[in-house]
Amino acid sequence: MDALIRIIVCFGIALMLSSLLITGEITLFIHPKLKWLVGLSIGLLVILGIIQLWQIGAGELHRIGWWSYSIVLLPIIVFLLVPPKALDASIASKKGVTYLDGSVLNKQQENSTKTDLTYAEEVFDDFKKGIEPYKKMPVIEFSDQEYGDAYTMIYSFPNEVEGKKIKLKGFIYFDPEKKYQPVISRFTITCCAADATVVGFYLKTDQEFKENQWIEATGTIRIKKEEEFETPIIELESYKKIDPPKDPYVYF
Amino acid sequence: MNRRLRTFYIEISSIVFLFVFIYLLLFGNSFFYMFSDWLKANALFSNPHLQNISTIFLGIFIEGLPFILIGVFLSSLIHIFVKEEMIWRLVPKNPWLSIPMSAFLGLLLPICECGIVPVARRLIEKGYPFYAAFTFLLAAPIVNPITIVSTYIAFGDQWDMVWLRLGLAVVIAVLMGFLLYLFFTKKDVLKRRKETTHSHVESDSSSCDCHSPSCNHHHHEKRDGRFAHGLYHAVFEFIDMSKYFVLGALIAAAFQTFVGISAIKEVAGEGWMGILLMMGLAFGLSVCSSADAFIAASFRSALSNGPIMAFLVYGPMMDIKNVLMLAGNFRRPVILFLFTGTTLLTAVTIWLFL
Repeated sequence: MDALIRIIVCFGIALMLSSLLITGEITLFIHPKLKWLVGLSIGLLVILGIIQLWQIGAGELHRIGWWSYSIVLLPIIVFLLVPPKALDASIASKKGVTYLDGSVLNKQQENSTKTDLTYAEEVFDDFKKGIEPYKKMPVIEFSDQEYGDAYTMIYSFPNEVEGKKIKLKGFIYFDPEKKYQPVISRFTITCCAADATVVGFYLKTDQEFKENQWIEATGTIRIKKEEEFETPIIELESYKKIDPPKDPYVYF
Repeated sequence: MNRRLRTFYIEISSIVFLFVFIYLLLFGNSFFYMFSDWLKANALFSNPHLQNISTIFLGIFIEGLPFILIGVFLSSLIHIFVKEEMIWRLVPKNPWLSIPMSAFLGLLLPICECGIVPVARRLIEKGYPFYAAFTFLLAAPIVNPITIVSTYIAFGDQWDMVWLRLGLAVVIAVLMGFLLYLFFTKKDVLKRRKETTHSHVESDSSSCDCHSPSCNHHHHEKRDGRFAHGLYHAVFEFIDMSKYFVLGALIAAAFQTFVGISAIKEVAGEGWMGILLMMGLAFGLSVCSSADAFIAASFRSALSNGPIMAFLVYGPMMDIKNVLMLAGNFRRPVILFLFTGTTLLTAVTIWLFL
């Protein structure tokens, strides 16, 4: 009987992972670049399962209690009872919003010693070139793949793109740290859902929104001065409601 | 016929299971899509908190699982192929050499904190000095190529944060190694697993208690039995390890859903408070050591290097899932000692030097 449960654990988890990989829902949990690790897990689990099949008459090496088995089966049970869902605004307040700010960049420059100052300047200039393509666009638009890049650039050099039109997608989140202003936000993950943080732009608008609503917004980039550093915000002109995208996260 | 069915029912049902699995893998695409739609339509629980816990929990689980599996297999391979004599020959007797050496073993055996417990345990069983094995256990999740690269990237291509992190980790791990060497003996360290009596098992190679080092000598010649036994043992080790890991992932997910980073961000200041809070955060979040640098980097605008380093150094050494896995493998006094020692050392070194 115990052997059967161990087989179910190994093949069950492997099946759960395969199902997530095939339907593409795996990206709700981990960064797509780590898909191969999930493949590896499946392979190793199947090997373990086959070993267990092959050694089925070998008896117990040490006793494992029923509660241990039920804990190990928990991921499968959770997967079956609470189907995968993307993180949304209901947890954004616990995760906190990461607004990049120019002050980090400046601090880095101050920290660098004089000898490598010219080097730092070169790196900085090189970095600043990244904003050029956005300056040339009539309306700044970017795909989810380019989101991280565009976000970093706009937050690093808001002055360069002030007054330009921008069009982007995101869900509405009211940031308690900023007096519940609406923020058009995205979740970004570096490894798995546990390290997700929220990124986004404030919207300057009188419109009423429902939290968690996905919108595609068009507006103008403005600058707001906040405690010495300048933050880009978006003055909303128009928006339309959209369905949440299949892969709701963005990656830096 | 009927009797034969009863004797072989496990074998038969497991073979059926294997075939179903292979069938689903090969032809199951549409089945999986249907299944996931059906799950969504019939969701029993749609409470947002529960769904967030579930997403974070499965995220940690799926991300850590391959490393646990690698750790378990590595431990089995060590069990099968590494002989005690080899370790005696390679590892210096002198703790002054073996402890610092172990701090850098992670560069050769790059495993993160999820996979390290079974490997460390196996090394101790194989006669690796236990104090040095604990140094390895503490240092390897930080002193390994993957963590080095991710820290470098997370902190905007700056080497000083990387060196600081590595340096602190090595210092703390080495100090803990020496302290353990002073206060403990090998006998106090390993927790004996509840072994079932092996008397009913037929072949002698699988009948011995695989944890007493003396028994390994009996069947050096019998590679085959040893090999099968070692692999079969991996199944048990996997279940043993993952139960603590699953429990830890669940607690960490609940912590993230109900307490969260932002609560800490609000109260974390500088000095003692900041350092302790960031250590608490690292303990509760249980993020993998290859990813935690990115979270730490998000605190840069709010905090100075001290508290950030506390997060970066303490997290990979001690977190919820890690402590639970340790608790399943080592004796309580050692874990208590390891926990308090590491916590105090981290807090004090960072307070003094940063």
